[in-house]
Amino acid sequence: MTTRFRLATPLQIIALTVAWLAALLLIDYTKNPHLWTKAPPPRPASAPLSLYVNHLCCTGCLADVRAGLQTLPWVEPEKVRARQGKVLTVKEAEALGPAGEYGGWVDVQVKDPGSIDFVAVDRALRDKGLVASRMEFGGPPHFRLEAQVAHMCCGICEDAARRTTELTRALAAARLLWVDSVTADHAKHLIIVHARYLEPGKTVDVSELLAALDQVGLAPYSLRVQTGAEQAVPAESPATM
Amino acid sequence: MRRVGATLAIGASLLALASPAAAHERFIKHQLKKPLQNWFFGRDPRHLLGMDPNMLHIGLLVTGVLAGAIAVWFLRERLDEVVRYRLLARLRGALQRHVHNLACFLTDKPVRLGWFYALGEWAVIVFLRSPALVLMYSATNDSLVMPSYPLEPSSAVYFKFLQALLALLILTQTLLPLCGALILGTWLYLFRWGWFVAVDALPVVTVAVVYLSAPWQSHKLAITRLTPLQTRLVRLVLGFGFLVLGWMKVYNHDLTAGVADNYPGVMNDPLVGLFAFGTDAALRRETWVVAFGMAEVLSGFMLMAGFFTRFWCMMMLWVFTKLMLVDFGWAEIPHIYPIGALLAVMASNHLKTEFDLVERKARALRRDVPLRSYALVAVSAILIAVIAVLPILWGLSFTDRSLLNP
Repeated sequence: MTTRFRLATPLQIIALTVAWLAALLLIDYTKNPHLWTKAPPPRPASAPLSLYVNHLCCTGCLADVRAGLQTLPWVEPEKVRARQGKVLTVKEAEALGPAGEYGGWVDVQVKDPGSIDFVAVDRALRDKGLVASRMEFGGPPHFRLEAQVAHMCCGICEDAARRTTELTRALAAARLLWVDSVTADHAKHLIIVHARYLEPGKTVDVSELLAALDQVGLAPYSLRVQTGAEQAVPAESPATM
Repeated sequence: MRRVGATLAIGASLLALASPAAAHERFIKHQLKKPLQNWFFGRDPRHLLGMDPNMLHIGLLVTGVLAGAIAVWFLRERLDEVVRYRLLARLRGALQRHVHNLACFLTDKPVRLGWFYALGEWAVIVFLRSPALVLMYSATNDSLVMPSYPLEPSSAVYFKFLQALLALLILTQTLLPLCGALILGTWLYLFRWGWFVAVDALPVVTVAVVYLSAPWQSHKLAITRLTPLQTRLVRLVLGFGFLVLGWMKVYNHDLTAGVADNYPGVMNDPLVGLFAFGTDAALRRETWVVAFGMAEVLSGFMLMAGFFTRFWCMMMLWVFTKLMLVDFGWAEIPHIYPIGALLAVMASNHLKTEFDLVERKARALRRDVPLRSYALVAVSAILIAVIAVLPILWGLSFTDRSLLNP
C-alpha cells in the first residue's frame, strides 16, 4: 500500500506551537510561583553582607536570626534587617496558612567588611536552627577570601585545596564563576581564594565556596575577607586553576 | 482566518503575561577579570559619527571586506570564464576535474561528485538528529535547550521529561512537524526569561524550519536531502541567527570580553585580528570585542544573503569545531548542532543568492554597456555592505548598557 504523505498546514503549526507554549508557561506558572511574583526589593548597597535565610516566615524567625548573629562581635543586632521590610508577626503567620515560599533575605550592616567571618555566620545561624543557603558579599572590587583549615597535613591536601573548583566541577556548574584562582599553604593551613574583579553593586555568593570546600574535605574553621595587599604566593604552590 | 487571528491573540496574550527575568547564565566562565573601558562603546561627539575612531575603523574595514567579497561574487561569472577558458582549457584529466570541482565548490555551483553527495546526505541526517543529543545533554544538565538556561529545581523534572520525549521523537524521526512546533514553542517560551535568551537560542529555530516542512509520516521516510526551499530557509534562519548573535556580542561587550578573559586563546583568530588591524593597542580587549562580533556579523550576513555560502560555512565550521575541541572543550559540546547545520548547508547543491536581481541586471548590461555593468556591481556591493554594517554599529553606540550583567 502506498502511503499518502501529508504536510502540516499553517493553522496546525500555529495551533501546536501556541498550545505547546501555553503548556510550558502553565508548568512554569504552577510550579514556579515564586518567579511570577513581584521582584523583591533590591539589596541595599550599604550592606556588605546579605544572607538568604531558608526559613524566615515571621518575626519569631527574624528574632532568632538576630539572636544568632548577636553572638558575633562585629554584627550590630539592630542593623540586621529583613529586606522585605515588614515581616509578619507570629500570629499573622499562623493565620495565613501554607505559602509557597518561606525564605527571605536578611541584610547585615558591618563597619569593617574585613571582620566578617562566614564560617562564624553559618555556625551562629545553625546554632539557632536556621540555615543561610546564600551568603552574598559585595562592596570591595578586589578582595580575596582566606580560609583557615584545621587539617592540611601534606602537599596532597594542598593540591586538593588548590584544585577546589576543579574537583567540585559537578557542584560548581554555573557556580563559583567569581573565583579567579586558589592558592594554598599547608604550612600555614591556609587556603586563599582570589575573587575576580567585582563590579559596583554586584555580589558573590560565598556559600558556594563553603560548599565546595566541604566537598573536597577541607572544611574551614574561619573564612575571612581580605582587601589589603596580597602576600607573596608560596613558591611551591603556583596560583593556577 | 478568524481562528488564526484568535490563536495568535491568545499566543500574544500569553507572551505579554511573561515577565522578564535575569536567569540567563552562560555555561562557560565569563566573568570579567578587569573592567572594560565602557566609554569606547558609547557616544563620543568629538569624533566622526560620534563613534570612537577605533570602532569606526573596524566598521569600515569590515564594510570594505564585505563590499569586496560581494563584488567578487557578482563578477563570479566573469571569473568563471577566466578559470574555464584560460586555466582549465590548458589542463587535462584529473587535475582539470579537481580544479573545476573546486571552482564549483567555491562559487556555490552544484558539485557533481559521489562523495560530496554522500557527505551531503550524511550531513542532513546529522543536522536533523543532532538536536536530540543537545536536548538530552541539556536535560541531564538540569537545563532547557542549552546549558545556558538552568532550570528551576521546582519545575526541572517536567521540562527534563518533555525534552527527553522531544529528543525521542527527533531520534526516531516521528511526527517531525510536531517536533518543529514544539521547538518553535519552546523558543517562544524562552522570551519569558528575556529577549536576550531567545536571541541567543535563535539558531535552534533553524532545524524547526525543516521539521515543520516535513510530512507527518516522516517516520516512514529516509530524509537525506533538503529541498531547495528548505535549504534556502535553513540558510536564511541560520545566517540571521549568527548575524544577530554578532551584534549581540558588541552590545553585550562585558560577556564577550569575560569569555576572552577566561579563555585567552580565543583572541588569537586571524580574521578577527585582520579586522582589529591598525587599532589602538591600548584598547586591545575593546577592539577585539567589536572585531569578534563583526566577524560573526559578516559570516552571518554572507550566509543569509547567499554570497560564497560554502566558503563561509567552511570558515564557521572551522571556528565552531575549534571552539568545541580546542578552546572550551566538553562544555561546548552542544556546538555539534550548528556544526551539523553548517555541514548540511555547505554540502547542498541548491545554493542561491538573495541578490540574484543584481546579477541578472549586471549580466544584461554586460554585453551592451560593460562599464555600466561594472558600475552597477561596484555601487551595489558598496551599498549592500554599508547598509549591512554601519547603521547598526552606529546605532549601538546610542544604547545604554549599564544594566547588562555578564
